[in-house]
Amino acid sequence: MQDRPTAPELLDAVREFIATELLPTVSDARLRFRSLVAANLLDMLRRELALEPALLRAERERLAGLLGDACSPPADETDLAAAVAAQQAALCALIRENRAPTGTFAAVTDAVRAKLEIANPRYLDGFEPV
Amino acid sequence: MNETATLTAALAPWVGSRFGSDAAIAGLRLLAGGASQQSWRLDITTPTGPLALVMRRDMGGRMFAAALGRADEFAVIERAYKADVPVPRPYAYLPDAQGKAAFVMACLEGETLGRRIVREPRLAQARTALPAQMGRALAAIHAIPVADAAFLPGPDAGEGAAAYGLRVLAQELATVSEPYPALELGLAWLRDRRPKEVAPVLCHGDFRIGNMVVNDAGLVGVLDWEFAHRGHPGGDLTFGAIRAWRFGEARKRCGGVGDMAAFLDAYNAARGTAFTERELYWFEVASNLKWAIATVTQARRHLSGQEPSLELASLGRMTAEIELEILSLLDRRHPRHPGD
Repeated sequence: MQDRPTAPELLDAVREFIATELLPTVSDARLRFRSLVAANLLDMLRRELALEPALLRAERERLAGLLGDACSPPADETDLAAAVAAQQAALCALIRENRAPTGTFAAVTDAVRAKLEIANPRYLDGFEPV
Repeated sequence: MNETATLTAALAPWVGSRFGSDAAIAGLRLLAGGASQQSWRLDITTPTGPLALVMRRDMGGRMFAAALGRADEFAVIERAYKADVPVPRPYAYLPDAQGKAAFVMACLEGETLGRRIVREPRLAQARTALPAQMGRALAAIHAIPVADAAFLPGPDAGEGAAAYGLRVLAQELATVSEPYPALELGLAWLRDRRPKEVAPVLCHGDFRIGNMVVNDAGLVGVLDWEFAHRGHPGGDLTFGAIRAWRFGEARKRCGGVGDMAAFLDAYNAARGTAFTERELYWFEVASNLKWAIATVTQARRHLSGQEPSLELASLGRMTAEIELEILSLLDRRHPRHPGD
């Protein structure tokens, strides 16, 4: 158990430092851009800390239902990210072999939406087919 | 001496021989630099007046396996210039600019940042003109005799130009060990539907709004020829139209500045072709795949330690945006879906 500030609180502090103290002193355009990228990545990490565990569990369940016994469970059930990566790799192999199970498109769409909830929720919310 | 001073000294003999002994270097400034190449602004004074040049210089690394070296990129720009494509006037290929290959071309004045071209109020008139201007410029590029471009990468004997593009995409995705199911779905969709093959043309390979030099009147020139290749015209016709290059102006599908109709009409009129949006849908999906896979491989350049860069790292988390667009295009409910 770590002392406060918690990880999200530390990320907020670093982000505030970049946005309010560092950025106003940077005049070089390329350096300004990279500072903004850095601040945005900290926001992304903040969301990842909050949302990723639940999103990963949901994806694990979804892909298990889709793949059935096409993907055997990993040795270490506690490493959820590795388990989901193995499921995704199995799904990729099926797609390449033209044997994607029914429901693949919806499951892959859900997985991409889960990535965007962390990487860029504004893009996800504003997305419309054009 | 620092890099600027040594490079200035190294360029002085060329400036003297090219522009006369009364010419001199008035300034040399690094505009952009990475592990693969640098761009330098080179200002020269001559008896007849000042001259603004740009030098592109190799740094050793290659952004993609398919990217050209400076000698080939210069050779493509020479051919484009000769064919009256709006490009910077090419001056010289320098095989040894302080130990690195480089070439020198004219510096075109104008805006090159895509986001500004799409947004700046002062460029409103330019945006009206750009789709047709870009269509005509692309037609001129594709009209360059492809026999003069045999040194560029392209399809194998007997292989179709679109099939070649698809093969390159699959090969690049296969270099990455992590799984990308959405991109695999995109590749499978492309494999199941093959477009009509046509004779390969000289393709720019990165024809998008951020590679145009734009002033108040519109297009001044086309930059960044390092991805030139021999391929199907559909690639160039759609790459600049993908959502990622509309800079938030999603409904202006021609690079965030206008309609695809004006762009395509101008291209077809100049080339004598009849490409339709419906026919190009396959290439729009392929162009999205190309950019999505590029974000994946660019991030790997950071992850492998080849070129540590926050910008490259952040591209790895942009892939999902393009994946959502790809899935949207594959979905039969998409308003422009061409059917099966």
